[in-house]
Amino acid sequence: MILIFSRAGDSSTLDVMRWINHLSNVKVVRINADQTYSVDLTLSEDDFHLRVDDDAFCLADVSSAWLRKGNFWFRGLFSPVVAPWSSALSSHLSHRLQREDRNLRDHFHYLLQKRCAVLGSATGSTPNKLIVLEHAREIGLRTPPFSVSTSRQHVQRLLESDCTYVSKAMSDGLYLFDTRESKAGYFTYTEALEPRSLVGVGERMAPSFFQCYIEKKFELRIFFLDRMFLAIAIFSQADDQTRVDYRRYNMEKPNRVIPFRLPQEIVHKLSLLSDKLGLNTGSIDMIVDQEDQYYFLEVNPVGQFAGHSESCNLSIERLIAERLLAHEQ
Amino acid sequence: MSSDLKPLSLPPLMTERLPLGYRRIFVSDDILDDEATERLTFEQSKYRHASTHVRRPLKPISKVEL
Repeated sequence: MILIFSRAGDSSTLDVMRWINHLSNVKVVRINADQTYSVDLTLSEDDFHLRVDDDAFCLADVSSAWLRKGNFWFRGLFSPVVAPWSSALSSHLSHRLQREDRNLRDHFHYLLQKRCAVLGSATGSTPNKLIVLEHAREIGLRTPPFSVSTSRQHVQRLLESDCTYVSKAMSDGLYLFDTRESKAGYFTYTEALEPRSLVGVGERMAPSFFQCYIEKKFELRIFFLDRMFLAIAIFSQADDQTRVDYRRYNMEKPNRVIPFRLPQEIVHKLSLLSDKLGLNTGSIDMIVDQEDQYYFLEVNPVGQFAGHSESCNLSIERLIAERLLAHEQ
Repeated sequence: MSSDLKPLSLPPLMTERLPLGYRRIFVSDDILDDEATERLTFEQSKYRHASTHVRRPLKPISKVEL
């Protein structure tokens, strides 16, 4: 049996499931982090028994698990508790129950990792971008210099320097589909740092991340699965709309996108980095400058790959399905 | 997707508390519509819980990658 943890809106999960369906008759159970189920869970030192709505299974039934999206997928196991006579007790109990929930989640992930083939990040989140940059440098990958500051003066010094800078999020940035209230999507992008960026900024600001802007020849999006690195080159530099952040797609004249063969030296260094980060799948962003120097930007363990898989005929969904089926008896 | 993105006008109190990397928020009203909030169950019964947001049946909304 294959266990898939995802979110309801992730179509790549569905595409992989279609490939599993095409290749095999194996049973698949998909659990979405943003849905509420009726869950019975019994967990011991080295096993668990789960009933999710009307599906019952134990750890021995699971050959492969794919941690595609989300963090913990059994919401509401601990209900909120309120002590009406003491807000301090309510607050303390709430924190304690959160820790109980976290310990349960960590042990569940530990058992999965120990007893079956797990694809994806057990933490379900992006590794710290700043620490990843440090690891990348240690391995010998070039990275654009960065700084984080709360000072307007620091930004002014960057603007007056010879280098061009961008501002971006230290974590994932804003990427929200509000399906309930405004029914709209909200996004932030990497932005060029310009004098107008300081309009309305006081002497002190919230800690902000700045990185040296590299004049690109093209940029690379690299999907990796175990030791396989599949790269595409995106020619985003010539279009003002996509020059700083290719995700600001030009739908009328899309960027040219082609499959790209990475130099063996870069593949080797990226393998070392994925090992160091404990990741067996994810997407890596890199830049190639005008002198053909490769710069590492970031890694996302749960990045989107559907568009590039389709445009460059990489069939990533099939590769993931085959990886999940490889451990089926 | 980007062609219909509009910069969001934020209240000054909100703007001054955000890091520079979050100060320009773009919004798109076209990404979600009423149909997109419907959930349909994937028709193959061996896949439990395979529901997904759809713009129209069998066309997942997030196919257009962001």
